[in-house]
Amino acid sequence: MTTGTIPSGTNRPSKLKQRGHLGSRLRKFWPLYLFLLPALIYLALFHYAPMYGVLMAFKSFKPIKGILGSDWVGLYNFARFFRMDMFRTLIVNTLTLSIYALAAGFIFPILLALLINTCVLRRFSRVLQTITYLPHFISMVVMVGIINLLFSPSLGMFTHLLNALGIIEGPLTLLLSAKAFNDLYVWSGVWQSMGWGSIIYLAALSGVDPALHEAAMLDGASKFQRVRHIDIPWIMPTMVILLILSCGNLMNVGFEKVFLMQNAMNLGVSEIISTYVYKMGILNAQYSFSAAVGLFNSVINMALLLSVNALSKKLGDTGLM
Amino acid sequence: MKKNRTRIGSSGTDVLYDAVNTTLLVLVFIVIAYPLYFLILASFSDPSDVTAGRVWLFPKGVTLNSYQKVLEFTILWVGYRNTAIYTLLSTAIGVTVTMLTAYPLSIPNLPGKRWIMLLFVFTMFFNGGLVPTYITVQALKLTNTPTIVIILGCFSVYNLIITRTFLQRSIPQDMYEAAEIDGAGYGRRFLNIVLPLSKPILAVLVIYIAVWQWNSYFTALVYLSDRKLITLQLVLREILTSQQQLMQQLQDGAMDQDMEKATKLAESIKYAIVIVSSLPIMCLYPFMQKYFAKGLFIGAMKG
Amino acid sequence: MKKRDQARPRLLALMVITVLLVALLAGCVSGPATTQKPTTTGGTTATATTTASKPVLPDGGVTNPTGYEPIVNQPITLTAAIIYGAHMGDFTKYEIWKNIETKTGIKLELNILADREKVNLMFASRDFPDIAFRLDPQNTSVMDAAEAGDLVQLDPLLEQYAPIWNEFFQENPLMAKYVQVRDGKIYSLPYVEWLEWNTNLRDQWFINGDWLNELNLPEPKTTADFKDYLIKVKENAGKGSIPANAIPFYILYNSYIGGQFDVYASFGVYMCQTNGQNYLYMDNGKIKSQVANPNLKEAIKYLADLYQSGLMAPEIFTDDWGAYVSKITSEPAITGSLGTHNNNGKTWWKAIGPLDSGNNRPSYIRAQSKGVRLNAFMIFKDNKYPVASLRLANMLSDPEGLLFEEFLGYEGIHYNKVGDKYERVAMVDTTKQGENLKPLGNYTIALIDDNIVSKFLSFPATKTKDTREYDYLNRYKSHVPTEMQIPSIPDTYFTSQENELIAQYATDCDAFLKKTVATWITGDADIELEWDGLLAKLNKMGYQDYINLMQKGYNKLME
Repeated sequence: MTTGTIPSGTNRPSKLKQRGHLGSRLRKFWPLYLFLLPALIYLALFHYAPMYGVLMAFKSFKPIKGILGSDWVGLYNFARFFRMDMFRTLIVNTLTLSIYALAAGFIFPILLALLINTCVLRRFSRVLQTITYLPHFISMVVMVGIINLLFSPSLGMFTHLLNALGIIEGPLTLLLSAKAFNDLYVWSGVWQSMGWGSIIYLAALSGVDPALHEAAMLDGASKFQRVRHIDIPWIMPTMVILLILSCGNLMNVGFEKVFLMQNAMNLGVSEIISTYVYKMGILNAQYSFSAAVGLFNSVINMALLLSVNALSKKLGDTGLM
Repeated sequence: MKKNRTRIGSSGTDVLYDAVNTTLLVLVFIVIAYPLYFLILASFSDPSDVTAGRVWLFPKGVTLNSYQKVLEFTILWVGYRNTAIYTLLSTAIGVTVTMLTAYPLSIPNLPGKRWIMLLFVFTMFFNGGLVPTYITVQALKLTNTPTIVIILGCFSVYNLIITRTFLQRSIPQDMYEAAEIDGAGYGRRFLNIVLPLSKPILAVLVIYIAVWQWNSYFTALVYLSDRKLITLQLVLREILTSQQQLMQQLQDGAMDQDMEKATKLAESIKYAIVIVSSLPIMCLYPFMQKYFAKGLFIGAMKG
Repeated sequence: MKKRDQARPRLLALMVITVLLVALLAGCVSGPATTQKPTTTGGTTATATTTASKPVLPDGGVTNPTGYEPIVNQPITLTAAIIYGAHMGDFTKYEIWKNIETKTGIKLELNILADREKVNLMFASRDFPDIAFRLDPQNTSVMDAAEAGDLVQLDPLLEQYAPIWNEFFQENPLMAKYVQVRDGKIYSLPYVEWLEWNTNLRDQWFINGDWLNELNLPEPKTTADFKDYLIKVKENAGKGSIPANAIPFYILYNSYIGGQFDVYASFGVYMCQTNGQNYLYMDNGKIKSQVANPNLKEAIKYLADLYQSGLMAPEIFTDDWGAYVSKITSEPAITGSLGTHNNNGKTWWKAIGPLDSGNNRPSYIRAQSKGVRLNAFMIFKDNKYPVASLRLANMLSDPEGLLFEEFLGYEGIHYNKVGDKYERVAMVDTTKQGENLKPLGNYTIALIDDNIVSKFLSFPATKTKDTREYDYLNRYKSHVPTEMQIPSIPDTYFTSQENELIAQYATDCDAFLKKTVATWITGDADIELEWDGLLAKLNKMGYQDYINLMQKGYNKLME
């Protein structure tokens, strides 16, 4: 945890509840298990019942035989994936893009929430809140369409603006640049999701006890110090949890947006695992192969999540499980 | 109350802080508002003008054509109605189940909590895929029913985790102890202690689940074939039909005339579609905003 | 330090076992369900053939063996799957289905599959309707379905119940080969449309006639003239009807439609698109690559010159299909030249080309393959009336049946009957007539082969200037090298291993060529330095292996 006041509400195991006999605890807690039942049933039906589908990665899938009946090929699909010439490029591209997107996408909603929370202009900040979350509703196709229009090399708004300001001459080649691809992808993503992502932090911040702020002000703390020592520690657990969850999504960098933003000039950087597998699948249905790649992604995601989770527990006590 | 307490001590840095804060937020406002404004402009302009770069501060070739074309699709209203119903039910069920599940998992020494959590988290990474899920739904006789669209996905482990985190942070132990001494059962505790204190997270869940359900199309795409059950996003998707699909159909060469007409139509209405499909759900947030207002927490604390 | 709950063995074990049991049970229950479908092998032959002793009407007595009105002597309903086409509107409202029902007694219940995913899902879950029209399924899906016995085998039924198709396959054995699946049997009927101006030519090369006149230039006949025209367009941007931000030459880079391949073709470098782009062509039965052709280098340098002189905009790389269509149909025009299927009613687009590049090679323009679209009609095994279904398919392909209504449309709107001939109305305003009167066109089966065209169809457009038909016959026909087209080779002629390799090589090589040529055009990379090494780099990605595999499949197809 951090220095300063520990906000009330931290879990401190009470002396009243110590370990008792299992039977008596079950008897005591049984209503809680009842509460868990709907979700567990949902899980069993829609997640665990179809779970055998994971095996598709290890088989040579033929619809006639079904997943369980198809021939077992073991790690063949994985080997095929690892042996591809493109494998290294795909991994590098995917990881570079996701880590970049994760870092930026994690930080900015927090900053925005803190800024909005401490804004002196009440009405402006409320209007701003609504405006910032609107981009979330724009579908990916339209989003990329807008990017292509605004940054259009010879016809776009930014070209005109930059030409008028004398910063550049002629067309703006940002969309063509392989180097700029990651930047364009990440920052347009921040633009789109910053407001939406700040919602959970604003909700968390609404729980800060104003008495703490008052006490700090009496002590002569500046606004900045108050934010640093009260607000941020308060939302720290939320931050940590969301960071862990994002890490668990690392390999899932969005297929649709990357696919739409690819062009001949940026393919070296913009070809990621999911787009490549998709393209191969157009020519030839590749069920088992895509399943294997998907499983590979999932394993990496899970390993990452568990590691970051363990790390965070060591450092601070907050964790997923 | 607060007003006469300000300006004690470091007023200088506070003014600086506020100035920087406000400037940054104004910048954010401009950066976010302009493309949104552009989107609205584009929906009122001729698509050729838009792609030719003739539109950027004012609409060109002002036309209500796009909106007209979208609203001509009578099935759009069926979609609206269905989506509204599905969203309402989905949100109600999703919020309820999520809260019911997060509460036990936020209790410190529930036996088996770790393993149950593991069960949930496991499904975030590994799932059987489309075909086995489809077969399961088929076996449950839920294909082509509104039920599957409402239920599938209304509960997510992600939401569960953030709800549980919130409950762990915000419901103080003393409350539980007091209730235990009073002899209140878990059900009563849930209703009288947890729920009233959970207004912010309830608001978040409502927003998350409602928006998710409103925007989703995949479940409906896969499981519904009856046109009467169609959802809004499906209708819009049909109107738009992804460009790749069109391109692939064009490989055959025939019917190009119509294909280009279809693309032109899609280009011209895709902006109008964003607005038509998002307007209702965008209005949800301002209603939920008030639950994030500060000070709500205090009243409950002192009791 | 928190003390972990030490595992209570009983509780834990109980939970783990429960979970495993649930998963196992669920797996066992759902798994075999997919294999429970009985595998039959076209078991309808029994009902179709008549026994020697007593003639039995097919389909258990419901279907008439001849005659279209009606086909069935009691009304039946068939479920039919068809994919969705955005420009086709709502299929369920079409008049044609009512037409079919009144004439034949067959009512069709349409299941419109709005997405490719749904089609794949249908095949993967084996949840089939009675019949299917156009679905664009993956070939492997159809083969698997045939192997599993989900599709009705059509060969034994063709002679008696689909004589039109029987005749077609006998006259066109190559087409029969296309339609056959792994075991040499026919499980589906194709869509055949052999209108030469549609199938033999890919794009027309257009130039902006209004601008040409304003600039007082004659129609460009050589690549040098063309560049001249483009330069003049750029210089005069902002004057007359040429807008200030005009793009002199606009293409959609590397696209099958509107791409730069017709420029290559003008330099005598012909390539066709089969299984991806990949710069291949057919030479007397041998599949060859244009990658080492020095004329290709000239063509690319020409394009690079145009680009680097500002005569083509960077948008050629960044625009997507929607933006492309918006630009080419823009009114007022924004570009001086482009390539596309037809002029979309914009009268300023005048066809030119192919251009003479001055290198003493013949100038070509791209053709398309004369082929068929496979799997336009399928009958599934749970269909109670397979013979009626097949007879319906025959009727839809029969000039004496509903062929022309289904394919062309309605008399007075889409065509006029002049004597024996059906005269196609040149430009039909599809917005006026209402959706329900649209023809189904290429969304179902049809048999418009050379016979039908010469016997029944007449196209006044062929005599009207500035139509695609006219331009094809008078300008492009002699430059279209259909013999250099690689015919499409069905997946059945490759093993599944070979198919996997082809998918990989084709994707990799195509991406590499696309990237590399783009950098040469923009000048980011030097074509002089990299040209010689291109083929070697491609071969490392499996280019030659890819060509060899294709050749192997082609040889098998042709034997």
